[in-house]
Amino acid sequence: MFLMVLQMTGVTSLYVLLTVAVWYLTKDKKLGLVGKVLIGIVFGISSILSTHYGISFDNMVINVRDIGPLAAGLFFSPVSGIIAGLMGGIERYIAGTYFGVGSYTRVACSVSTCLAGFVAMAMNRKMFKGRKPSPFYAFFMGAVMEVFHMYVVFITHRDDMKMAFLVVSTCAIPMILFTGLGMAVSSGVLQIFTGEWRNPFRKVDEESESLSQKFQRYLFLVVSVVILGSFLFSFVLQTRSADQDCRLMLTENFETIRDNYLAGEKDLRADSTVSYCIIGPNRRILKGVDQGEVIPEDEYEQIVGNLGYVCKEEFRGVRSMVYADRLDVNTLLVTAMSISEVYWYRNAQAYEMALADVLLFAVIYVLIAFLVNQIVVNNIRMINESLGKITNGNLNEVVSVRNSSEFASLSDDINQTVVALKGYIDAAEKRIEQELILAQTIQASALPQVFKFPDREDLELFATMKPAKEVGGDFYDFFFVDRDNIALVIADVSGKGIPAALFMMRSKTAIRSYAKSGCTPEEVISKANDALCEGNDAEMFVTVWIGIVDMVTGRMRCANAGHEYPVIKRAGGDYELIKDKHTMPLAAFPGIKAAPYEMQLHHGDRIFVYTDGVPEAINNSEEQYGTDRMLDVLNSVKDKSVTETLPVISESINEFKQDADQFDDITMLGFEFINPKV
Amino acid sequence: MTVNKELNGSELVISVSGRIDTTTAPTLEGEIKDSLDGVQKLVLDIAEVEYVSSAGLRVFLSTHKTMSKQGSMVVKNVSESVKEIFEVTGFADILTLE
Repeated sequence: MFLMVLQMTGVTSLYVLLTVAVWYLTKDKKLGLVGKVLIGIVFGISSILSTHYGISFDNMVINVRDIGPLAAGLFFSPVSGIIAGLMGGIERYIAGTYFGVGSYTRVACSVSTCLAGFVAMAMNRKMFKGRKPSPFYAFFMGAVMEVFHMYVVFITHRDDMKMAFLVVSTCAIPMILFTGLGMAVSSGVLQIFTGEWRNPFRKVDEESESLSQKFQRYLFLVVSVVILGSFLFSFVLQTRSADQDCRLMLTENFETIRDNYLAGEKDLRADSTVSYCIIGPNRRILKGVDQGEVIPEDEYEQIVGNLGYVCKEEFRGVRSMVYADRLDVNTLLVTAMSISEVYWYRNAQAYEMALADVLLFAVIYVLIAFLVNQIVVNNIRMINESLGKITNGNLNEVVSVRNSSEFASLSDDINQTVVALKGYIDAAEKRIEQELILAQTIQASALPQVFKFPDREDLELFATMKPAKEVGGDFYDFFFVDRDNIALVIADVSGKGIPAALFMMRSKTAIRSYAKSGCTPEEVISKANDALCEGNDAEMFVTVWIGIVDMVTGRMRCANAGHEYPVIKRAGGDYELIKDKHTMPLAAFPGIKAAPYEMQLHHGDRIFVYTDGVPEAINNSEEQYGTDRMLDVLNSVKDKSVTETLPVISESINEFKQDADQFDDITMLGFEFINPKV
Repeated sequence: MTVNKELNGSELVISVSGRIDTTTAPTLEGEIKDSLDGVQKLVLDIAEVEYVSSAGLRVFLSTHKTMSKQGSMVVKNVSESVKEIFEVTGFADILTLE
């Protein structure tokens, strides 16, 4: 027994080794047909070797031949499995028929080995979909295959149940166990090598367990309980009927022998399965088994104690069912049947039934699991895929799983929800769009639109703002601080949308009110900065250029907080950048000290300021408009008035950007200092 | 715009390429915000950045503010055009450019 376990372990380990070796050699290669056939042949040869190097156990020869096709088919390719199965199976039949190797079980062995290849193919294709089975499933595949093997031994020897029973009862447990273990260990080792290993006994939390796994677990539980129940029930029934038969047999035999004996017959006979003896005085056997011997006292006492009943007791050293009664005062007639004789048929039946049950169990389990996968899990997966597309924003996706009423109505519900959702989104979009248009209008109306000062002829001023799609944060502003001083402001709030627009309003108001209170540009910058830094949780900021021109002297005091370089055109000269000193934008850091500077304007001098929407406008090939191009265009129309110049720039930008989107607001302000006396 | 992050202990290197403008700035801001926990030195490698808009500057500003509370921030490999943007906007004065 111990030797057998050792030898089987050895052979099974060799199989595991072979599987791992073949996997290692082929792991990085794409298997072509030749490769698959070769693997099949290798495993086929392993099956053949397994046949010829079987292991003796209790006068039987056991082996794990079926691992070959199963491993080839499940771990590698269905084709390999079939080839290995056919090779192993056909060779087994030939060896059994012509070379006398295990000829008794040749049909069962070859059929099951051939079939193993096909089962591996079917399971690989339909259940595991090409993935390697887990050790748990691998064990069951191997074990169930061997159960089938044993069952076929029964089926093919219906007329010789005793022998078949002997073969099966000896071989079944080691072969089933080792084939199962061989498969499980192979699968486990491969999983470890491929990094797919996870402890099958580890508790998985509900969320990560798939529906099919959960279902399969309960299915396993229910089916095993049902099948175990039915097995126990019929086992008990069989035991009862065996007892009944035995009782009947013993009493019938008893009566026949007694009648014959009393009639003086010399040649007394019992049925072949029943032994009898007639015990005379001094416990000596007068007739029947062991004639002439003396029954030991304890056995005799037992027999005498149970006269008239069928009882289980020792008879001639064997546990038997015994029926005895007195023939006359001195003689006893004993009929007995050994326990193994009473129950062998029940045991054979039990084995056969257990094997059949396990097969039935396997088939039901696989079929139901497969069907549930097909009917429920696949549908759920399809619906999930569609839902995934929908949640990724494709609202035109239609769920169309319609192969059962539940799924059809689920699909309909989802589709209706999506349609409703689309409606809401459209409505919301429209509302937002309207609100944005309104916001743009409000924003635009906050900018001064009248560029003529009726009582003044000492300046020309023009400004435009062309917002990008969303409301933005650009603004320009101009206003008389007092009778003689006009403030020019251009600014750009970081970011876009409603937050930028709100921040722009705050900035515009702050700058205007500080400027109007008589502050110098640097004071306006510092004070507005401190005001805007307060409660600026959104970390927004605004770049500002401010210039205050004294219309009497032409002195312009400026400050630039992070804004684009202003452009100046001296009367008769070209437009050029003023590379002025910069400080940080407003609202970035509290306590900024502005860097003010002054310029002297003369009759006909112009100032042109703009936001980054101008130089940073891009075209289709993502080139920027740039300040150089801006200056060139400005200079090409330097003789035109300020009011005429700005639209030229707008047009030039439009031409430049072709059909690229306008990303940023485009805002410009032009100013010309005029001395009416000249 | 693409963003690559590499964390070495408490030093985080974020490499950005492309344009940082109104459309991409929120993504960059989210990416940076998500990974600043426990970072003591932040290196922004903007070698491949060709343009930074005001929305992009806002990301630099807010990141600078966050990092000045928990460590330091360095902006590396600033291209000429972006450097100009930083200078014009006064950001060159507050950011550590390398």
